Amino acid sequence: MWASASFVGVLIIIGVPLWWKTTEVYRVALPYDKINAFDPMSHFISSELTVLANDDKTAQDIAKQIEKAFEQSDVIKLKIKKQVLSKELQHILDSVADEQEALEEVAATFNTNIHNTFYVVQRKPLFKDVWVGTERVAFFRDVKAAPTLVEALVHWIYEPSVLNGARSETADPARQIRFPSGPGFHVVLSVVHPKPQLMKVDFNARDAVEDYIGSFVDEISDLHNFTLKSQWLHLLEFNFEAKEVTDSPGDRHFAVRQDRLPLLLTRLEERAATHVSERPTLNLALYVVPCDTAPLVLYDADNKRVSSPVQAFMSPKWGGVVLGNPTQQECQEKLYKPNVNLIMGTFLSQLRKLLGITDKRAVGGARLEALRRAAPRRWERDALLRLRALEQLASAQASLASLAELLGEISNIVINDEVGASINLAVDSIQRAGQLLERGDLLEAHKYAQQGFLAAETAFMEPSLLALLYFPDDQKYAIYIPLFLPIMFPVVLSLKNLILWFRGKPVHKEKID
Amino acid sequence: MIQLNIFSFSLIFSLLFTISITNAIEIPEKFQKSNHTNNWAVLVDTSRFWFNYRHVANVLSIYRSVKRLGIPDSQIILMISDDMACNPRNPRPATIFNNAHEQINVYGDDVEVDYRGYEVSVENFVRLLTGRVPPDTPRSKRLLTDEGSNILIYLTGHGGDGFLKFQDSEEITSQELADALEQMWQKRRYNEIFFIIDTCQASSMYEKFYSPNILATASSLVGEDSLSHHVDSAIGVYIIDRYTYYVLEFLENVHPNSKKTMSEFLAVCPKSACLSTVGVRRDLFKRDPSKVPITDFFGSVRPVIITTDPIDIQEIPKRRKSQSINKTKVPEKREYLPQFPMHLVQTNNY
Amino acid sequence: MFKSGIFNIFLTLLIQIKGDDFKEEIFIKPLPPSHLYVDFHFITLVNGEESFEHSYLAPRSLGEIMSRYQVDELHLTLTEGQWKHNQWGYPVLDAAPGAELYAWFNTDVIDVDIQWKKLSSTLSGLFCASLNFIETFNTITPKMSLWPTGAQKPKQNYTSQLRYASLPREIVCTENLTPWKKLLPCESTHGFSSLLNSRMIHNTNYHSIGVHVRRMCVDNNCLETNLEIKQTVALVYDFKIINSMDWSFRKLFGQGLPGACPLSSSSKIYVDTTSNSTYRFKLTPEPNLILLSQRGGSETELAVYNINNSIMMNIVAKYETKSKLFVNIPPPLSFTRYVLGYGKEFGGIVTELTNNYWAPIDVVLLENAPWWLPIQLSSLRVNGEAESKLILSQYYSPGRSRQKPYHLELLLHLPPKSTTTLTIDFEFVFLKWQEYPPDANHGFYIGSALISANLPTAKNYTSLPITGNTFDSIVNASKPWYPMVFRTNGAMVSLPTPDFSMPYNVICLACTVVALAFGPLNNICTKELVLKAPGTSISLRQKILNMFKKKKD
Repeated sequence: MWASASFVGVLIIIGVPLWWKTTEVYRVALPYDKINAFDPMSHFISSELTVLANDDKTAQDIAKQIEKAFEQSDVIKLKIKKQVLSKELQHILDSVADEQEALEEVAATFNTNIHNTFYVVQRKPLFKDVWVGTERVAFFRDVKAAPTLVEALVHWIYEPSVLNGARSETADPARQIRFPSGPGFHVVLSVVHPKPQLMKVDFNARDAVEDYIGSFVDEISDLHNFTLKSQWLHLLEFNFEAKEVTDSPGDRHFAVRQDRLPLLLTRLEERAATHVSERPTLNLALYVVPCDTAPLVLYDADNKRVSSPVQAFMSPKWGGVVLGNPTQQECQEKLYKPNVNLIMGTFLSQLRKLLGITDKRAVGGARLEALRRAAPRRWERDALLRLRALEQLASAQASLASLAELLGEISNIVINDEVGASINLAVDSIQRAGQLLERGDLLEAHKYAQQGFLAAETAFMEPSLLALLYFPDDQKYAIYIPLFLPIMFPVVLSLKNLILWFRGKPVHKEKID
Repeated sequence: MIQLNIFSFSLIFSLLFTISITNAIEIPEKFQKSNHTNNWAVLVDTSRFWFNYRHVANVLSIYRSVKRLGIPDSQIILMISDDMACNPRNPRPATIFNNAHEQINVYGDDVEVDYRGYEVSVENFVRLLTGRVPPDTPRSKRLLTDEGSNILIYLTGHGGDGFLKFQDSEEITSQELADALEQMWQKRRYNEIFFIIDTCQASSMYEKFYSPNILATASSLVGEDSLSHHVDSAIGVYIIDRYTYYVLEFLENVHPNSKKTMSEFLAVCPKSACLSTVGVRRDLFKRDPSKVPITDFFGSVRPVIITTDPIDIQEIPKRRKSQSINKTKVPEKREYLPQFPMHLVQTNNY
Repeated sequence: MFKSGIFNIFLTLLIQIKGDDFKEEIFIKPLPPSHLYVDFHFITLVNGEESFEHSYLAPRSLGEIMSRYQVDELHLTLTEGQWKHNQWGYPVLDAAPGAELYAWFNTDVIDVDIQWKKLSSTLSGLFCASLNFIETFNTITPKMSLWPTGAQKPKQNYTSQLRYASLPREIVCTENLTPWKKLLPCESTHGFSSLLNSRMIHNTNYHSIGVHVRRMCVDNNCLETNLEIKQTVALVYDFKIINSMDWSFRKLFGQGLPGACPLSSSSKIYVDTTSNSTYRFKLTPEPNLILLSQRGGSETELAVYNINNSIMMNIVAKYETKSKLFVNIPPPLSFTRYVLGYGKEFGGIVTELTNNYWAPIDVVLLENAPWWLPIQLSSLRVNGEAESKLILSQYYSPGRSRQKPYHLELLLHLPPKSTTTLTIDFEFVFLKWQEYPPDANHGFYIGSALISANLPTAKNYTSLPITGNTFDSIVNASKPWYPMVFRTNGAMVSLPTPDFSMPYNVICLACTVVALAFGPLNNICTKELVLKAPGTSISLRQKILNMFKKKKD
């Protein structure tokens, strides 16, 4: 009896718990409840808007109209402050001729350098109803300009539709154009020169990219880290299949159809050698058109000639191409000196769109001052920060939600400490970022949103989370059952006798031979 | 009575009229609009050893078609398990043919294989699909798709009921493949997938799929074998499989502006030609295959936006030079080192 | 003519502004009786002080790799075939079969192993080769055999920054040639690189493509350095394969030469006509110039073609006598290596070094055995002796299972006109089931040994001197010593391989054995035998069982 008791003791009482413990999967506790409570569509940003008018009533009216326009959108909440302009400032604004000077006067009194703020200032002598420049100030003429002002605020400054698209799951058109969020990008300027033996090109790619693109990316260094590079691709030829079109006697151009252009991108990609970099790459290519097919002119999808000072096109999430056409005289001299300002200006316009600064459509009655320098407008930077913060927040939450579902479903994946730490960091960062966004602290919110996004990506793409590496439960039982079941059989059967013996009844089993 | 006749006549007339109008409008809307923004292809050959030459020819034929129709190398992941082209047993070095006439060298002059030899394993394949690659993996070996990508997945090799053999030593089960695709869907790593598999009992591999937007086709149903097409007596092995042979015949007539549809592709190999029944799974695919152009998966779309608004820069910017360029670095004198440790010879010289 | 003149002026202007220089060269040497050695060199010189983020002619991807991982010098070769040193002499750059990668990292780098792993992974993506299989368990740090060929700051410890790995199982085919060609400024459409037709160059006895990056001094003061990026292709053609004794560019490469690359500052073809005295052949068209070079006691005659236009040309060599008797004069140092032993328990590696020269030669022999082939230092015998005066210096680093390979370096003094035989024993190791490759019965490759020799003579020697980067630097370049690093042939062993279908059988067997063993054990322990008096009633079950039992009486 003691023998079978000891068998039972060893196998069932000690053995089974020991086996259970040793085949247990190491899983760090995860904040599932917090992850399940995520709701990307509930995040909003609050932003400060100050209305400065000549008298109290104007300020009230303008503020009320703006409030009404923005109360529909739940993605951005404006905190509107009203203030009456001081007499002297009013006088200065009315008398100063130029908008730029007016801006400086306003900037002298109010601090326009704080992120996520905006000033709407009344100024009588305006050519149109509303004027917006590069600083965080918009001028309006009077109360009657209120609808135009509201439209300008909605379509230019705040763009709630784009922000809504950033936090939603499906991609809206703006999201399809811009590069996805990330900590950094490489920007490569490639000069493509198909026939170096026939033409010399005088272009300092290094200085061009460092000066022009460098000035631009320095302004948005809070958002992404940029590395600027340049290269020359010689002897890379592409057949545009351009048809010669004669405009007038002695003047001709070559027409390129739009459906031929994606093939140029494929050809460029073969040699741009982007796959050595770890970060995504923005390609800016200057294609020097050989003299025998110059000038090349692009024709759009409706087969209409594109009239623009420069022939250029871009592709979402890839980059942009500018066609450099040498003039007849440059062809004769065999020396092509491209107009650096114009070409880099085109690249900058493409770069802006690829990084998320949307095209501003025209609003009747309002004037958006054309950009005359490389750096972006200050309120565009704010818009980018808002956009990227929301996008990264939403993406992080989606990743964590699907990761939690995956880990919950497949119960035999090991969750090691690093994954647990990343997930916890991501959850904390997301919460903080959400709070900061609601408070309006944009820079800090973006920082935390990016931190959360990167932590969520790291956790999701962790190489150890491959279900393949671990034994599924049913296979685990399939190995142990044939081994232990025959052993357990007599042991379990003897349990009955054991129980009877413990209770004191004599046990007698006979086997007669 | 007469009014009834007039009424019915006008009814019939208006009906015919609307039908003709809708027919006239139908042609431009014949293709259902797809909303993908880029195309990727994952082409895998899973067999090793010289007698499986035909699987390498299969996958390279698809590679060649897909490249010809526009998908760039940076968006194609090609996995080949064994080297046939430079194999010492290959009487035509650096070539792989898919036809005994030896007209097209599908290996070509600009092939880029991303995973080759021992790297083609079940683990690496699943890691590639789910994105959980080791941290040092270069970009050319990652599947960098996003929510707008249409992916063509082509697998060929030896398979069975519910599994596909990798390199004659391990298998991937249909459940694992379905789980990997589901994880891709969770992370929104694809818009639509077209899955082709050319092995024996191939349709068992797609039966377990449960993620949306997948259209799958297989060269044979469960219980059937996929057969090879013909032998090239100069090379000495079967050089192409039947299903892929007819697929290639079809694809050679497709050009980037083709109007052919997916349903034509799905019907490319009738039982008389393939000797096995081609299986199709379309319940997970939202659109109607007869309205989907074949270039949605085999071609490459790259949206192009013409720029017409360059920025007119007035002042030429000058970037602040970063501090890391230390101009006061003293140039150090360098020298060539001796190429042999003579110092050890002299000290130890006897 | 005028146009090319203007173009040349432009090009020199261009170079002075940008600072990049590109040259391309071909070296052709007949190897009697029936082989031909063709070596392509593409050399790009870049100003070494500037950052590599902006490039003009040099490949930006290589520059980025060098700067991101802080690599001072890089050598990568992908080779197929064995170079037969005793028949063919010495190549310009020797390479081990398979893939071979070694690099010196900057002295600022603290954790070299991490950078090494990242470097090999990135190169595997760039060249489509499985270099990501390079890990710490197959990397060694040679102490005596490899030295940096670039200009370095003096008095620094370079050996600790060196890492070397070789993958003998790697194949090289068009998929490696394609990205290699994309690194050239002219790609494969113009210049000498358009001759590299993969169907023709892989139909050879030996083909090797390589990338070598190092720093070179600009002038004698060496205060400034240039970065030299050299891409090489070495080919050995067999006349039996191309089916004729006469060779021409059309026969070798499938097409004529379409002219020079417009971006190169010099495009030259050198044909070694030294063997013209014994095996006379005639070159058409006539070479531009004939150079006579006296180097270390041996004379070489080179026919030089200077290509500077874009006219298609085809160099043809016609041999005058068709069949001859060939007497092979072996080179000063030749070697062979093979595996001894039978069975799956022990074995040995034998390396035979033959010094055919009248003076002693010093060599460093590097044996690199993988962790699954433990070599026993105690069994090292040189010419049969355990303690030999021929070993001047020794370095041995024993390996650790699954972590480090076995690393043995010997500095040997080879006596003149003799053969030195080194033997070392090894034993086989059982690998874990997951560590076997899918084709385990093919065998396992042992990489080649490195022999770094300081040759006193330049016979059969074609390598460039360290200060030069083009072929014309070998003319009259006599030096006291001619260093060269050779690679022996590799070897293959067959490890004890299990039957891979065993797991299911093992489970069934183990379960059955355990069940059968446990049952009686349990019975013996828990049941006691009780004697029963005869005559007691027997149950029905027992009656039935008794019917089957033999009645013992």
